[in-house]
Amino acid sequence: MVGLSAGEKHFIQGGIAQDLRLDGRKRLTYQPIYVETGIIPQGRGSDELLTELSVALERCLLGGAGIDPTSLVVVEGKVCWDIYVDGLVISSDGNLLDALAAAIKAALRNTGIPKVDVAAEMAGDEQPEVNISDEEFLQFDTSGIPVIVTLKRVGKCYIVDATVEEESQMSSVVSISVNRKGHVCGLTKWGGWGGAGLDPCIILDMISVAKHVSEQLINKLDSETAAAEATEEE
Amino acid sequence: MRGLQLPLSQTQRTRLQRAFEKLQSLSSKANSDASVTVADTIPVNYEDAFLKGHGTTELNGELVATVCGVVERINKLVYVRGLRARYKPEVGDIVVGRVVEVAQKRWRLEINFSQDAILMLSSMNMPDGIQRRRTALDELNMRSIFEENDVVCAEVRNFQHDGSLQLQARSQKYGKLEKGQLLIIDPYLVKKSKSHFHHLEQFGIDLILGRNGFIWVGEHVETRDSMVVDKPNSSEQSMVLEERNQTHTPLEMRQNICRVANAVRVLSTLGFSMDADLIMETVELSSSLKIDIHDMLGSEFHVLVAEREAERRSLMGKRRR
Repeated sequence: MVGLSAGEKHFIQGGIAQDLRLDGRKRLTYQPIYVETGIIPQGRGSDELLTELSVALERCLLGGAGIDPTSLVVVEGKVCWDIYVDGLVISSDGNLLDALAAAIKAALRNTGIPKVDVAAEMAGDEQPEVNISDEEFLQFDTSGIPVIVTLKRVGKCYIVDATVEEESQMSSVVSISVNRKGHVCGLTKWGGWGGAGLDPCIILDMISVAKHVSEQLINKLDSETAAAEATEEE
Repeated sequence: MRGLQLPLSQTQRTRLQRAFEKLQSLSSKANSDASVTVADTIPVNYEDAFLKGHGTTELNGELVATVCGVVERINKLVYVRGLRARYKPEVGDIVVGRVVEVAQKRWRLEINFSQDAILMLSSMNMPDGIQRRRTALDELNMRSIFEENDVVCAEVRNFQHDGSLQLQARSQKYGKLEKGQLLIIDPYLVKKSKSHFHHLEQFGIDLILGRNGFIWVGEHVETRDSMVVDKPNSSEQSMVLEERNQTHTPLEMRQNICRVANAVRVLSTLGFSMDADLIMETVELSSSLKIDIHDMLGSEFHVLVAEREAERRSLMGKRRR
């Protein structure tokens, strides 16, 4: 967290009120997204932020309309795939949750599930024999996976994709995950960082703003991921 | 070319590469041998007596660099100046810092140096302008002048015998900076020049290039008259705050501030040395091409600025000959 003087904070608030943020963005503009696939991260970190983030990610991504569990089934009721998602944060300039969710969506799209041949039916409780292919992969269907839009309320307006300086004066932060169909898959309100209480109609307002912003974000993310995969194949 | 984290298309990449190659070929011959990386041999005349300075070591009878940087020679001293090092203060430098602590009779400021710099209460101009002894009341009211996280502009006064750095803010042009934004870049990009305070008249903006890499872009302040009250007058202070809360920077000035700030960011990403003229030219380039303020941070504008700089330096070189 960066410390800011009162004058700087006032300047940031004025900018948001006038729809011109520190780097010239409008309130609802995201910074350019750059996707690189085919990279395996290594490393670990620990933070109390870590638990908050993982809880928020779970809540937002595992809502029923998120990842479709039936695509992970190998043998109904017996064998299925487990997905572990590790996020490595190399540097953070704010808006960590949105970036992580976008990265997860892109990574899952790049994930291949090996094709599994199941041996003939076994009786009762025995574990069926499975033959995991090394060659053939099924693409994971990520169209249902939501993106997370974190909205920060500053004064009377909302901003998305806040930088570290802007984050220092959020009065209320709500993270909403919306999928391609425009359905809300999960919602988290951050209260731990001095967020004030919210009137319910503000939350409804935020949801509609999030729906609007998520459309552009999903399209941008999909096109960037497709472009990255295309360059990877070259 | 430093690792630019910009998504560049193939054509943009080639254009940028070409611009950088042109710039490298234009750099003066005298310096072309000067940049070294770790374990490079430094060309020295071994018969002369010379002193091995920082960043060098003797290996197998040869003088070898231990950091990546530029070889500097001063009389008999040979040393390597690292490029991305922390700020190295010199007396008389203008720096911009952030207050991290209010201590007894002094403030501690963060200035991207290996330690925090100290600004003594006695090195500050008191608001009434009279030179007088600081009373105990002044000490108690230090927070009314600067408090934690305030951005302050000051001058390097000296190094104390214990190695700590002392600042002073004696003239009217130094002091607290509000109504603007602070940018942090690498210190080596700000070269020593005649003036580090720039009042951009056509925009009504102050641009302060701190030699420690902290750059301030903000509304122009006419006189550095007090934010300080001599006697603790809380009602007056709260009135100032209320006024401040209601008046925001006008939109046009804010746009100009954003443009200048983005110009600084672009030049810093490309690794070009900053001076006010270059920043102004970059701002003018962006407005003349009708580039949106936020798009200034996009790849296309970066490539354009690099190409323009290569053009400018080659023209300068031709004029000299």
